[in-house]
Amino acid sequence: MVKGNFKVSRRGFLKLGSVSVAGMVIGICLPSNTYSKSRSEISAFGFSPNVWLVIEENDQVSLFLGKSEMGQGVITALPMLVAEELEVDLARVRVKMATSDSRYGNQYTGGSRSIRENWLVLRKAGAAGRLMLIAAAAEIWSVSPDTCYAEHGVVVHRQSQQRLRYGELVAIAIKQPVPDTIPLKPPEDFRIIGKHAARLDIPDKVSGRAKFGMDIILPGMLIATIAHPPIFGGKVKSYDAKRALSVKGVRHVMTIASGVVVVADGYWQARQGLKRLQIQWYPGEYPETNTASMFNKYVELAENPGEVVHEKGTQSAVEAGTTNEIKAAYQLPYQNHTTMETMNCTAHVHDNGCDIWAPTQHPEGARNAAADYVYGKIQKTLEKVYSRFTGNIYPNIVVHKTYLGCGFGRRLEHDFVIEAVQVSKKLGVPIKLIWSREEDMQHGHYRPGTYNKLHAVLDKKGLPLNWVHQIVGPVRGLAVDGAANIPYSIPYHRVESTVLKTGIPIGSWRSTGGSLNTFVIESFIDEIAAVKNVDPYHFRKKLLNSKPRHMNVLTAVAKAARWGKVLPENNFQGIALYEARNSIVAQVAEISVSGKGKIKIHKVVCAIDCGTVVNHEIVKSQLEGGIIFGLSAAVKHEITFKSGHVVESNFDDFPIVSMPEAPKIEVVFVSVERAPGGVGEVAVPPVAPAIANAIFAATGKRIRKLPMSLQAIV
Amino acid sequence: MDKLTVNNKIINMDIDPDTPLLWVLRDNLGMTGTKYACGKGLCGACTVLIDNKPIRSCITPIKNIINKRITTIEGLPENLLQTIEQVWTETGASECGYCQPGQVMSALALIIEKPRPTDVDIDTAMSGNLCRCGIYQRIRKAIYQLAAVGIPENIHNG
Repeated sequence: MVKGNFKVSRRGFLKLGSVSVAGMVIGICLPSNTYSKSRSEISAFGFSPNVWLVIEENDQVSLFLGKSEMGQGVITALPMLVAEELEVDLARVRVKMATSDSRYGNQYTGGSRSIRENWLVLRKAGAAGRLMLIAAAAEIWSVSPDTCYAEHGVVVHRQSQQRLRYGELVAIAIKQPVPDTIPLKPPEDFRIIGKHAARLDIPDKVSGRAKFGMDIILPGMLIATIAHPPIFGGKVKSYDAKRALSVKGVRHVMTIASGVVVVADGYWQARQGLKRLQIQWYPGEYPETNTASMFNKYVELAENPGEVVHEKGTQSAVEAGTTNEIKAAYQLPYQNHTTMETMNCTAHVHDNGCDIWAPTQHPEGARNAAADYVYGKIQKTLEKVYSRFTGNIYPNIVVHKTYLGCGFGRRLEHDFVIEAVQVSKKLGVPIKLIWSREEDMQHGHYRPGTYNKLHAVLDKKGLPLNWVHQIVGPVRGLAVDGAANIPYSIPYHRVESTVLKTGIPIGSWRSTGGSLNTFVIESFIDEIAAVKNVDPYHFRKKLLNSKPRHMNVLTAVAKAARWGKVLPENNFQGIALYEARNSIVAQVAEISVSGKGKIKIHKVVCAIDCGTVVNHEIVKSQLEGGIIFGLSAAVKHEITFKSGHVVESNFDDFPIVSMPEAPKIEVVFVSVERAPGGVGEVAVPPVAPAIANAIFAATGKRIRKLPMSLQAIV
Repeated sequence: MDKLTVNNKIINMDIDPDTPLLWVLRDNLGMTGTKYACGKGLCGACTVLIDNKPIRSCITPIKNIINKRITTIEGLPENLLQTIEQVWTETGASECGYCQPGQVMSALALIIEKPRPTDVDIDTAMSGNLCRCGIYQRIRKAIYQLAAVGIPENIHNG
């Protein structure tokens, strides 16, 4: 992030020229995520704001924002924050997609952070604007600003009831000093935050007008598609370009760093060309990788202690007659994101730099990654020096954000971006590079598959004294993430990690390690409860005495799901609890088992404490979607490996939950007045253990491996 | 080649007859409302109507649909589209939105055939339209609401 003031050259200014409309521009600076200062300017970009708020003479309010819209609803929820404090109607505020320019601040869209990062910033931006507009009106009327107030985009003088629209005030408002202190509304005065507001992006999306990366069309554009080496890290050995070029519409065949690309007039032609190439590959470093032997190796490695990555409390000894031991092992598969829109990017490398249209969760990262290919070595060094001098990083590489057809963490990577840039650089024309579904499935950045050994020592009452969790996986960070995060009071807790290098690309998958380790933790706590036959809900409550917020959420979900009450015959429930991103979630899954042992999932009830809720419907939608996403991974799909490559290729062998399979979902809010927590990921992790625990309640069979089968479980 | 009729417009282009309709729509005609997601008829994102029946345009070569009436999301009459936009907005039935044009086309085909669909009808008609965002219960609600509002007898422009 750019900090402090800097001078922007003519070149940098021109790049930003498109946002410099006539009107009042308020820039809010936020170094290190802390609100520090604000200024207003018309067009001098002598500072580095995160947020650009533009109020035009026609009363239109625009918010230039860096966050990507991938279905999580930022295009609707973020303007609500501004409108609340600016005192305008939501319909007046439009989010305009910012480009990758450094001065739009941190654009990384992941980790359920968009609302959390902007909760104060956008409200302060709105409030600063309101105070300056009021000051402008007061100046015109020669009254004290204290005697005026703002409502619905108008400043009113209380006594005389004189009124001036914001649009009429901007020319004078920009001359007002930005207030030093910016008071925010108390929650009881909110008229937009927490109130109903329909999503603003739906009309364009359902009508097909919304532009996703896949939908970009530029004059002179060619369409490219790519084959990556089937074995990770492999290289191209040979191919027959002539065979591809004989397809009508195929223009070029080329090798780039990551594979072989065919460029054609259309995607279908490019695909036909690619099929004919007869590419031979050199294998990568791990041509033997296969799932069964990898997990066997995990089990073998787990025989020895791993590196301690978390340790807290004092260990109790196992004493005959007074303590009890319990051990279990859990296995979790690799998973792919499988965004609905496959990886794609449109790039145009030209004399002045490069324009990129990408469905990306990380525009600045994409821009920086592209620089390696846009520029030669010397030029890149010069650009870097220039960037450091101006604080504006690679201003001539501009990433234009499109809508994202899902994100889930996959689009934090830049592989698809730099490929399009390389092809455009070689050919000098705009290139839209599209990955086939098969390439998307087999060249992902996967959630790691892990093996987990659990060992607990229990006291006489069956409560855990020691909890040791040993994790073996292909990486450390994303495999152990969340394992230390146990809400329950346990006197001794240790997490160990062992890494087996596999060469498999690993990435952030919606909820990161939460989806792995919550299955382990919430299943194992259920196993411990079962040792003394204690009801799993009451058992959890016993261990939550020091966690009132968790207790509230757990109680709320039990109440809403009618836990412990009479259920329809053959129906059983399982419960799970999770905390992350400053939100707490609990879920109860209700299932039934048929005579033949077939499991049906009827309902998932989800309670959440995510602090202040900005938009209830969007939060509910995120939780519903998160539950289905977690359910798909729990019961439907996994990524497996054979002879070094990924086996799954499309929705036939990587099926996701469909409409008839989707259980009913109920969401309960446990309302707590505090800053909002994240909601994009937290519903994903508890689903699998809630279902597995319900299956245990129904059948006595403990599920310790995912994905679980719903067929013939008994 | 023979003539292709898309949204009541006759298309005269020299296109390989084996080309799937999806790519003719997207690359030749610049109509990007119909989406690519699987290429194998597995997900429904590319659904269009042919004579009011939903088909997967990603696996339908144009040679098979010569002289048939093809309707894409772009071809729906404005008033119907507005109703759909309103119903989907009221029910919050979209997150990323990428699958939605396909969902809408399948839903229309269902309501044309069964103006008062049941849960089972919806399950049957919509099982091939995947939504990775997983907001199926909202889509179901939107379909009920659209059926309740009703759609015009002729859903084709012009």
